[in-house]
Amino acid sequence: MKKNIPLKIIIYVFIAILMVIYLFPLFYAFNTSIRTKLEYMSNPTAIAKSFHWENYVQAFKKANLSAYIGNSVFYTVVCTTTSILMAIFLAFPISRNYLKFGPVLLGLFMIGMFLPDGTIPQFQILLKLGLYNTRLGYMIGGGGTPLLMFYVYIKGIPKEFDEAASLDGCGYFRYIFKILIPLMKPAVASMAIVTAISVWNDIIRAIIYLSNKELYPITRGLYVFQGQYQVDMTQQMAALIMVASPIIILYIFLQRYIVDGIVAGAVKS
Amino acid sequence: MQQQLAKSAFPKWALVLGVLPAVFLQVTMGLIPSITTFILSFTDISGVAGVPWKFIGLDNYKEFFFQQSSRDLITVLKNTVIFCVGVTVIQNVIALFISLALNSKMVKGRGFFRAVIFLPVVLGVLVTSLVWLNTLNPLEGPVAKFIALFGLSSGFFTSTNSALACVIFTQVWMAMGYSMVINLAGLQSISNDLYEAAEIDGTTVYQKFKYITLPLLWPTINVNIMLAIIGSLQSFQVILFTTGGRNIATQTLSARVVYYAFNINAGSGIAAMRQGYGATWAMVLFVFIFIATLIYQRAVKRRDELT
Amino acid sequence: MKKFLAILTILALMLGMAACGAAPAENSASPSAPQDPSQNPSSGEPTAEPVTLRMITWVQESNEQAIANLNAAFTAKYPNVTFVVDTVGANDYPTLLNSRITAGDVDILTYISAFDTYPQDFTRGVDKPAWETFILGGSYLDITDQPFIANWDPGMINNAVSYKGRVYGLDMGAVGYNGVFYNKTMFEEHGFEEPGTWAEFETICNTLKAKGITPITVGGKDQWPLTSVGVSGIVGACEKDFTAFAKGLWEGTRKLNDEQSMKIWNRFEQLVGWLEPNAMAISYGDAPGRLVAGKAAMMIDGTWNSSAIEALDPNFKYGYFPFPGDVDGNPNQLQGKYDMQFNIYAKSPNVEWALKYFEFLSQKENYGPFVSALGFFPTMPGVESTNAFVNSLADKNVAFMPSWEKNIVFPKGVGQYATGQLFNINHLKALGGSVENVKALADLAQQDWDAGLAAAK
Repeated sequence: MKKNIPLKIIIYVFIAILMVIYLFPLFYAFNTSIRTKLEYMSNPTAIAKSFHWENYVQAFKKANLSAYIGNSVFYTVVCTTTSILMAIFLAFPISRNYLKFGPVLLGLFMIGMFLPDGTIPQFQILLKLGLYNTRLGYMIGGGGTPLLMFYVYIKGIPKEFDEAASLDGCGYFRYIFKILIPLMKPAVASMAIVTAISVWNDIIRAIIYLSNKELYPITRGLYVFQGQYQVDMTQQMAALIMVASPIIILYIFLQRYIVDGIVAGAVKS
Repeated sequence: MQQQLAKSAFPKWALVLGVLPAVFLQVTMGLIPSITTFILSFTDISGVAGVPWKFIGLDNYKEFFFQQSSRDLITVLKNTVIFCVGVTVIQNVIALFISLALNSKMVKGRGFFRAVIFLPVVLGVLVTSLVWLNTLNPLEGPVAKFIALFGLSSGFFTSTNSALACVIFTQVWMAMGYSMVINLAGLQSISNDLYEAAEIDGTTVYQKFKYITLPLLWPTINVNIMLAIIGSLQSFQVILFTTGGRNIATQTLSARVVYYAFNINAGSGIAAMRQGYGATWAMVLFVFIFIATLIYQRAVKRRDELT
Repeated sequence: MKKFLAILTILALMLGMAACGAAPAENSASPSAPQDPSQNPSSGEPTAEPVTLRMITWVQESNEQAIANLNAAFTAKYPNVTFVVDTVGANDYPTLLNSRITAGDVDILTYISAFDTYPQDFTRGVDKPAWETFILGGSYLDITDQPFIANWDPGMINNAVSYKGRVYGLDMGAVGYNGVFYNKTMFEEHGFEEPGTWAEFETICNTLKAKGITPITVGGKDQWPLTSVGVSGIVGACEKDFTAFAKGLWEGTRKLNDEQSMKIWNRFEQLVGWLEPNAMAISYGDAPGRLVAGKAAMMIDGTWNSSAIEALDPNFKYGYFPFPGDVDGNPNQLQGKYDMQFNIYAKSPNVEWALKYFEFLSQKENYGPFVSALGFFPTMPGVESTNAFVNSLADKNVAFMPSWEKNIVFPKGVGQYATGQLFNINHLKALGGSVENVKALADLAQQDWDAGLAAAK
C-alpha cells in the first residue's frame, strides 16, 4: 500500500471536502441557534462568543415541542411495530411456499411500485371513513411493508425449525414470536430502525391529514414554527436542533446497527 | 409456479389469518387508491368535504394539454427531467467514489465518515431543507460570503437561475447516504481473493477498478440508479420546503400534483384544492416514470449487448 | 446480542414515553367531538355552559393582538365562553383553512380578503376561488337574516361578503396598499416632502441613491409585497379606470405591451433600480426592521403594517404615501381592499355562540376599539378609528377605490408571465428572474395572455 501515497492523499482530500459539506451546515445551524437576534442580524456568519440558551427555552415554549414529542414517539412505535409484525407474518408463508396463492401475494406487493401514486384517493377514502384528522387515519396508510428483506431472510432459516416446533406442539403465532423473530434479530432490528426513521421524519402526511394541534408530530410543529416566526432565525435554528437532536443521539448509539444493518440486508437480497 | 407447494407444518387458517392484515391494508390503502387515481382524473372532485362533484370526461386532460400555457408545461417537464437526471447522475457518481474510498482499508476512521454521510437520511427532509435555507441565505449567509471572495453572488433558492441547482444539491446531499450504503454492501460481497490474485499479477489500481470492481458492482449500481430515477421523479419535498409551491422555476410534475391536490405552501393566495385535476397530473407523472424506466432499461440492455 | 438489548431497552423506553404522551391527548380530542345537545339549544338564549370557540387566523402581530383583546372583552361579558385561536404563517394559512374546514374542527374562520376576483361579464374560463368552494360545500353559515347585518356599511355587505344575494361573512375593515411607508426624519433631513407627482418621486429616489442611501426596501422573498402591493401601486398611478383596462385586455383592445402599458413597465424598471440589492432575499417580516434601522428610506407595504413599525420603535417618525401619478393630486389617493373577513363554520356545534360573537362584534363600542387596533379603515357607519396613523391618512382616503389587484382575473392555465396581477416583475433578471428587460417581459406577458385567452372557453 505504501506505493499509493498520491492516491491516499487524493482520497483524504476528497473525504475532507465531503466532511466540510456535510458537517458545516449543521455546525452553522448550531452557531446560529446560540446567538442573540441582534448579534445575528449585525453579522450572521460570526462565530458565537457566548452561549445563549434562552433561544432554546423560548423556541421550546413557542413551538410547543413538549406537546408534540409524545405524539411523534407514539406514531413511531405503533407504526414500526405493526408494520414489522405484519411484514413478518406475510413474508413467512410466502417465503416457505406454504400458501397456494403465495406468489400472487408477492406480486400484489411488488406491483405497487409500478402503479400510479394513490395519495389523492387515499385522502378521499380516509375522509369518507371519518378518519381525517385522527391518529388512526394519519398512521394507517403511512408505513410501508418491508416484505422483500424478510422474504429473503426467512429463506435462509432452515425449514427443520418449523417441523420441530410443530412436532413439539408449538402453535403458529407462538412459533413466530418465540422462535422465528429471535432468529431474524438482525434483519428485524435494522428494518425496525429504518421504518422508525421514516415515520419519525414524515411531514407530508402530517400536513395533509392532521389539522388538530393536539395530534401533530414534532416535524409538523417545527414546520408551523418556522412559518410563524420567520423573522427570528436564531430561535428557528434552536427549534430545529431540538427536533433533530433526539434522533442524532439515537443515531450515534445505533449507528453501526443502522448502516451495517442496511449493508447486511442489502447483501442478502 | 416453479415450485411444488410445500407441506405446511402449521394449520392453514393460522397462516391465512397472519397474512390478512398486511394484505387488507395493501389492498385498501395501496392498490385501490392507485387504481382510483385514474378514475378521479375524470372528475372535478375538490378535496373539501361536502362540495358536490361529478364526472367531467376528458376535461382535465384537455385542460392539461390545451388549456395551460404550453411554455409553462414544457418548463415543468424540463425541470422534471433535469431534476431526475441531475440527481441520479450526481448522486450515483459521487456515491460510487465515496463508497470506494470508504471501503478501502487505507482510510482510517471509515466508520465515522460513513456515519456522517448517512446522517442526513436520519435527519429527514424538513430539517435538511431548513438547514440549507439557512446556509444558503443570500443575505450575508456563509456561502454567499464565501463566493463573494471570488467576486460572485447568487440568489441561491430565490433566483430563477440557481434555484433548481440548489434544490438538486440539497436532494443529493440528503439521499447520498442511501446510495453509499447500498454500494458498500455490493462492494463487500466482492470476494477479496479476486483482488489478491490481481495484486500478484501486478495490476494497477485503475485496472482493478475497471476489470474487477466495476463489473461486479454493476448490478448494485443498477439498482441504485433505478431507485434514484423513480425516487427523484416522485420526490417533491425538498422543492416544497425550500422554494415553495410558487415559483415555476423549480416545479416538477410531482410538485404540481401536491400543489393542485393539497395546495400546500402555495403562497398567501388561497386557492381551492382541485384533486380531480391533481389526479390528472398524477397520471401524467405515472406515464412519465414508466417511460423513464423503460428508456433506462433499454439503454442498459444495449450496453450489455455491446460488451 | 448487546446491541439488540440496547435497542430493546430504547424501544421499551419509547413505549413508556408513548403511554404517557398518549393519555392526555385522548382527552384533548374531545373539542372536535360533537357537543352535548344541551349546550346548543335551538331557540332562546344560549345556556351558560362552558363553550370553547375555535378560531384560526394568520400571523400578523396587530391582528393577533386585536383579536385577543376582542375575545377577552367577549369573555368578560360571557364568562362561560373561552377561545382557542390558532395562528400560522401566512404561507401556511391556506393549508390550515382547507384542513380545518375538511376536519370540521373550527367555529370561526378568517379569510384573507373579501369575496373578490370573481368572474365579471367579460371574463371566461376562470378558476373558482376557494371561498366559492366553501360556500358550495356548505361550510360558510348564511347570515343574511341576522339583525346585526344592518349595523354594517351596506357597501361592504353587498360588495365584499355576498354571493348570489346571500351574506356569508363580515369584513373587518379596509386597507390601502398602493404606496410606501417613509422615514419622516430622513425625508426632513434632505428637505423632501411627500411627492405629488412621479417626477418628484423620481427626484427623491435619485437624490437618495446619489447620496449612497438605498431608497426603497421590500420583503421580496414572499413575492407578494412586490408583485401584489408594488404592482397595485404603480398600475394605480398610471391607469385611471381599472375595469376598462381589464376589459380592454380581455377583449384585445388593450395589450400588456402597448404604449400605455409600457409606461407602467418603464416605471417598474425605474423602481427596481431603487430597491435594496438582494431585495428578493428579504422576508416580509424583516422589511419593517430595515426601514426602522435606516437601511432604506422607504418600504413598499400596505397600511395594515404600521403596527409592525411602531412595535419596533415607538418613537420612529414615519408616514405613508401612494405612488404618485403624472399630475399632482391624481390620484394620490389610497387604493386597496377589504381586509380580514370573519366567517362562521356552518356545521359547527357552537353556531349559536359564534352568532353571539358576531352580534357582539357588530356593536360600535366593541368594533371601534377592534378596528382601531387592527389599523384598518372602519366598515361600520358612525365608527371612528382612534388609530393615529389611520387618521393621519384621512386626506388620502377621500376617494377610496379597489386596487388593480381586485379588478383583474386571468383565464385558467395562463402562463407564468401573465398570472397574478399581470405585471410579474419578479421575472426580471435584476430581481432574480430570467428575463433581460421590461420590454422582453411585456412581450412574454402579452404572449402568455393571448395564449390563455385563446384556450379559455
